[in-house]
Amino acid sequence: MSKKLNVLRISSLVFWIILALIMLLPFFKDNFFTVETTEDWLKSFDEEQFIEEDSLVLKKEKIVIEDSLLFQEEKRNKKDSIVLKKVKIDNDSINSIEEDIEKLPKYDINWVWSDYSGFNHQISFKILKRDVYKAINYRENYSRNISYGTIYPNFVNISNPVIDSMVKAMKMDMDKKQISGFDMLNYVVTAIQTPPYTLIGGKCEYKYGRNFINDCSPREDRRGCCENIYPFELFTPAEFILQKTGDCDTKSLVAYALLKKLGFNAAMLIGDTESGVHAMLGLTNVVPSIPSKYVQYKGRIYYPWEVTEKRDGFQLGSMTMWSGWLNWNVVCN
Amino acid sequence: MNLAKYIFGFREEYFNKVSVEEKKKQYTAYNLLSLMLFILVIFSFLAGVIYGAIIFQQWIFAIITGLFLGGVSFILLLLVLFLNMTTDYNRLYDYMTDNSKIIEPYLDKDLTQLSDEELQVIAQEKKMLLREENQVPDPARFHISNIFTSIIKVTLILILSSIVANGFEFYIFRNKINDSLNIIRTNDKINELAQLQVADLKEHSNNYLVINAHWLLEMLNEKAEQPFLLIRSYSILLSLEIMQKALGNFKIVFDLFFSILFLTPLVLVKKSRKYAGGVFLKEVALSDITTSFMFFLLAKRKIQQVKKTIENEYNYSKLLKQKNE
Repeated sequence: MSKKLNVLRISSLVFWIILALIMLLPFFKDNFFTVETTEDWLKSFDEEQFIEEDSLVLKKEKIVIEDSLLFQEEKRNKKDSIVLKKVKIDNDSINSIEEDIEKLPKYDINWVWSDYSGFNHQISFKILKRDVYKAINYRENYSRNISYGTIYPNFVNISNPVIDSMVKAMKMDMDKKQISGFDMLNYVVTAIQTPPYTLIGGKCEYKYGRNFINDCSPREDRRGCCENIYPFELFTPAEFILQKTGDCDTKSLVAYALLKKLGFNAAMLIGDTESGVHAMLGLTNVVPSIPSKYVQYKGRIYYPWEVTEKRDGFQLGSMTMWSGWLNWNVVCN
Repeated sequence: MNLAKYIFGFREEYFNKVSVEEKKKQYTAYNLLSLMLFILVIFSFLAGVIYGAIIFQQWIFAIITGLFLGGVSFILLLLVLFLNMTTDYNRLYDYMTDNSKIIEPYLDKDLTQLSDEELQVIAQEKKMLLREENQVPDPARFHISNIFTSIIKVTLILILSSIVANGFEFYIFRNKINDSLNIIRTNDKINELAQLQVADLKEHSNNYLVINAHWLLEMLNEKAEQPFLLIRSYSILLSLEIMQKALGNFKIVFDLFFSILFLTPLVLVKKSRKYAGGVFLKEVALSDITTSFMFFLLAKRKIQQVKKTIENEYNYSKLLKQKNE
């Protein structure tokens, strides 16, 4: 009975104590409410959230460096990942970084491939880590309600510094080897076709007759897959250049961006094949040596170029991979 | 003040056969419970006023909202308390739900010659007998349905407590919330984004930011026809988000305070012997059983009297013969 009686005493004591605490709360409110959190909340309105040095604020995602040389080196060192770090920097900081740009950490990119004629090529260039992180962050914070027509140029714009580095290296190599005209097209397209196809998608599963596995690296068996990449299951050109992982639209976008920088009239083509929606590189002012399908846009004829893989049959205008050709349009030129 | 009289129907007659000390304890227990209920209802009313002030930005609507929430809270708390307030004297509980055992001996007994006073004596004797038989409480056994009913009751109370807690937190931290909202309203980036017109949206890479900025300034800029009360925002959800972020884990602690406050009467009624095992509920049950029994006796006596009258005053043989002819 006495034990039961205690319930009444204890409960009423708890009730009055808590009531007293609530009544006293207004006197100590300054200790609990931090107005500074509003500043953090406002950061969601900053479009440009730069990602900086490894030693700065941590971000969870990891990105595997797929660059062949770096990848091997990283593997040896058991450091196959780089943790990305995110920080918002103000204008002053941006200026100071611009001044010390040479001191900023960079990725060494090495690209090795051979063109349709069997000539081997190799280019090496450096890209700022900051530029890659900026592109990744831009993609991750990109609105999901944007059309194809907007997302592609935006992704190219944010990746411009990285694309410029690659174009510069390619130009130097082509000048050295005196490559010009149509050979330039072959040179650039085969460079993009060479890294093995990697599916960029929502879920890694059986698709296109292949059993994709959740391994975001350019696998020789072409079963690599990067899961949950949004929006539009697309990497920015900067991410592709760093990792060499991409599927039809990512690769087409990079090829388009590189060729535009080199002065070609390129475009991104999107349409339906028997396997579903597909993206290809489109070129105008050049005529394929074989009969080809084409897209008419603003008085120009764009011929498709499959860039997902490098095979002899995958040259300008070749449609050996696809028999279906429906609703093809230029989405970015 | 005898609050229990107005809330739980405490009457002196229930304690005629109870010691003064026991009566005092019962009064204290039920007055305490009534006071808790009263405080919680007042809290709900005040929280309703705060919500009304934020949502409608007019005091008249704020008071109406307060009355509404207070009323809902009163009914809900009372319902939950009464649902928990079952006597531990389970045999009395059984008699209340099925009184056939009490009335069985009187089904064939001739009551026509008994006066009202004599019937009253029979009922009172039965009451005393039941009181004697039920000296020791016999708590109800566990049943699986108790889990579900308890979950529903606790959930209802927790929902109510969280509503009240948020209302109070709005009031307590209103100045701080207003400071935070002012930071948002005067933020350069928000104002810059809000300057972009619809035509610009297509060009803008993050349209949702522009839309959000437009909406934020719409909610935070005071309109001449509807001045702000308490919180300087027309959006309660925006204020709630700002408050939640600013309070962080402290908000969970404050919400927990209110949850405990609201759950205490429930636990008290369920677990304290002063209520389920108390004299008040026992006497209420006895009174209820006796009243039902008394009305049964009166009704039975009336039936028997009417039956006898019919038998004496009507010649059924003659009436039957007339009908056949």
